[in-house]
Amino acid sequence: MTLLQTHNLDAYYLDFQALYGVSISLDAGQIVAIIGPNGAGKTTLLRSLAGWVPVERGCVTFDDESIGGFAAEKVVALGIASVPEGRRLFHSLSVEENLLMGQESNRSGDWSTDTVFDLFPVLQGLRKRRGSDLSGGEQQMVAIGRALMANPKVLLFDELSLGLAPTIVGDICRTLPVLRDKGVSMIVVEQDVRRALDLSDYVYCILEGKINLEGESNELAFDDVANAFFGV
Amino acid sequence: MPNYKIERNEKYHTGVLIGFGVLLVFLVLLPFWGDKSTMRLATEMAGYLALAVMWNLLAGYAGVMSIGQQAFVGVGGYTVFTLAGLWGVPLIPSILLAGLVAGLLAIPVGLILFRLNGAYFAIGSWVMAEIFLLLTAQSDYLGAGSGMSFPTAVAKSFGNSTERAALFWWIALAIVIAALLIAYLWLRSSRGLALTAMRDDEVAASGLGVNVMRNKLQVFLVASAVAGLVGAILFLGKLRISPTSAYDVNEWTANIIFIVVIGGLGRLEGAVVGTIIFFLLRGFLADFGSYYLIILGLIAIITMLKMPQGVWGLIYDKTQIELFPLKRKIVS
Amino acid sequence: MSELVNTIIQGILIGGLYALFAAGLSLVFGVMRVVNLAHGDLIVTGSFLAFTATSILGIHAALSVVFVLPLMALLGYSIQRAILNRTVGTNVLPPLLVTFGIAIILQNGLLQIFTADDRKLDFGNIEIASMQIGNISIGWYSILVFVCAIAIIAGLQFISYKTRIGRVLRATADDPEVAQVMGVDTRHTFSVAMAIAMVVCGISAVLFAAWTSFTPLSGPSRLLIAFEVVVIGGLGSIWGTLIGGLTLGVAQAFGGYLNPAWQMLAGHIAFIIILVLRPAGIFKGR
Repeated sequence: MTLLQTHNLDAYYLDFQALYGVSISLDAGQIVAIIGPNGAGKTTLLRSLAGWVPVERGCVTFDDESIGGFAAEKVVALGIASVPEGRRLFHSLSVEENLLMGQESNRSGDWSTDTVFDLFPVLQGLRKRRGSDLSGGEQQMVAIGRALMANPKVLLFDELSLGLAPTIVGDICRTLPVLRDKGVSMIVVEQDVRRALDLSDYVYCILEGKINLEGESNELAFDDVANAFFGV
Repeated sequence: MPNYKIERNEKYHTGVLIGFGVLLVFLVLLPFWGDKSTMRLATEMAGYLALAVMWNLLAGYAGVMSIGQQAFVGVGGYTVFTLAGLWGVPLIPSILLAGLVAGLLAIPVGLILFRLNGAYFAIGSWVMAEIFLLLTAQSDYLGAGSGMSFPTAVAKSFGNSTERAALFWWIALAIVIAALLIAYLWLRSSRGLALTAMRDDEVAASGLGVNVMRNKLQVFLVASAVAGLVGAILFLGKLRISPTSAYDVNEWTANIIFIVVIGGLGRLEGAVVGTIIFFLLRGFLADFGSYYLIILGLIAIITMLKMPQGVWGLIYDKTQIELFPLKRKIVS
Repeated sequence: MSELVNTIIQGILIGGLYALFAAGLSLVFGVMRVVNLAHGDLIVTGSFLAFTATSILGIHAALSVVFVLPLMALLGYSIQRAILNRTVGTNVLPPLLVTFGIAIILQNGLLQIFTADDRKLDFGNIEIASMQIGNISIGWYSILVFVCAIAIIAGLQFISYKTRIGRVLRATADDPEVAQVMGVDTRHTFSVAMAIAMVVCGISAVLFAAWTSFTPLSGPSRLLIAFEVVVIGGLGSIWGTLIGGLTLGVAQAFGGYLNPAWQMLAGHIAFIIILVLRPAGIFKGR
């Protein structure tokens, strides 16, 4: 069942057109990876889905409803939560307060600070620390937990591994299937092609604002994806 | 290597230049065709225009949002009253010294206030103007709180009231032409580019080697000197000065901000257009008392929200005409 | 000597009120990054609302808060929602110019309605009653004002750190874009912040209106006081704001003790000295 879809999406970053007729789709229970070099339009694509970037109404559908151009706070209320690039924790709030901010969308569900602490036990001891005092990996856990507190159906994950130590990335990647089993579908932007293929069910490769390759992750050859990545 | 050069003037600029020439002759001859009240109004307009050109240079180009320029208007006024009125210094040197004193005072004031950035600078400059006001009001020599009148005998030595109006008008005209020329040449030079870069991004500009502090201070100094000159000539015309009128934030800053915003922030022509609009509105709304200022406030807010480029910005967007050519065009 | 001590105590007591002026200004700056040039005129508007309520209804001045506070909250919310939200996130100039425009409109609107006459709120006998400690006498009204100020500052601290709206306000101040992605309606949040700031202004407006007389033109001096307190006390800490208020209050009182005409001047000069003494300047890069 298709959950979230774009149809011929055009989007702009400041005055520049960043996306040209991009169509992707995410099925319930799926993990979709978006790969591509810097400046290809990956982040703009996620931001169009999350409501940070104004787009035309019909370009994005969620549960068969047109949501393109909805304000970000409406999008998250429908069940699409974001883990933004660079984590972007609220630096003057404690870890616990950061997590509680995830509830501002007022969606009911099973996620609470306790269940987040079950998922990332290390955060339990850091509850009272400020967001700015954490390591990059800890911050990423808080950012994920904060998004989960919205009890989302879809999680938008921008730059999962950027700037994090490899072991931490491994830990975080292992939680993705756990989340999927709890009913969260995901779109993950990732620069590392091999990791993206490993963790996802379906991959879109994006270059200069257009999809230039897509397919089931386990059917695509690494070399084809790498070529698409570099536009060869 | 192909030969490129930078061009600024379009063909129509020869016409614009001739137009300016004709206008100038017309204005210089004003005392021969206009009466006393016309000359006084023209003097006031020239003063406001000079202030607006400088405020535009400050806020629209250098990113220095001062709401304390009344400090320097007041200093200029009091300096000329002291020099010419009390000490018998001749008129022209007194006026020039008034500008000099205001400009020199701007250096320590700027050095202190530029520690505050953006919006905080704005209120800081206002505090500074209040300090000037309170200090002036403490000085018995300057007539304390009630101010002073310009000695009649000295005023008479400049001629009868019509001759004085003509004299003051010519001086005001010289001041406003100087202000326009300074602003124009400044913006045309590489310093102008540096200012624009600073306004757009102070950090990036300083990374490119622009000395942000020095540039700001230079603009602030020149703008304050011009404010001093304007204060000198306008209060001479009134023959009376008091702390509250000399350092009046509404008169010398709110009105000027209105002129710049309505005319077009960051455009030299904006100050000219804004001054004309301001005086037209003032003429039409003169009978409405406080409502007049309420209406000005409303117009300024609506302009800022709906038409932030101002009237001249709108004209420019439609026609691409510049009266003062600043645009750089690369031609081979 | 006891006169000097009296003066200083008086300065401390009014310093609490100054801190309240500043708390509203710094709340608005903290959340919206907007320096509200109409802040002082909004305080004066609050004083006139109180004056109108007491003279029309004949109620005690203190009771006027029942009308003043909701009206101020509504006024703050509406100004933010209808006008200032359009300037949030732009560069520094539009909000400054727009709030300056609002200041001019309020000032001249009040002039039109109330004329430039001096007004004062009457709190009754408490204004002249005083407590005697040896040679020193402290007015009960001053003490009341100071206690109110401390209570409100503590209340603001409680709201900021112990309530959901406080958390949302702090988060929005940190990163409005991400707050929105979390589901916060930032336009509403900004307006609530302004409403809270205006309630604080309203309380200080009523208290100050009985402390000293006011006219429609008193706004700028209130704004400058608020601003100086924020700069002296440093941004971000409400207790710093209190220290700033007390410093300014004492500086003014001391200046006034030396020469009654130096009261305001002494406050401004204290501000300049502190500005010069802080080597790196204040709030650089914010």
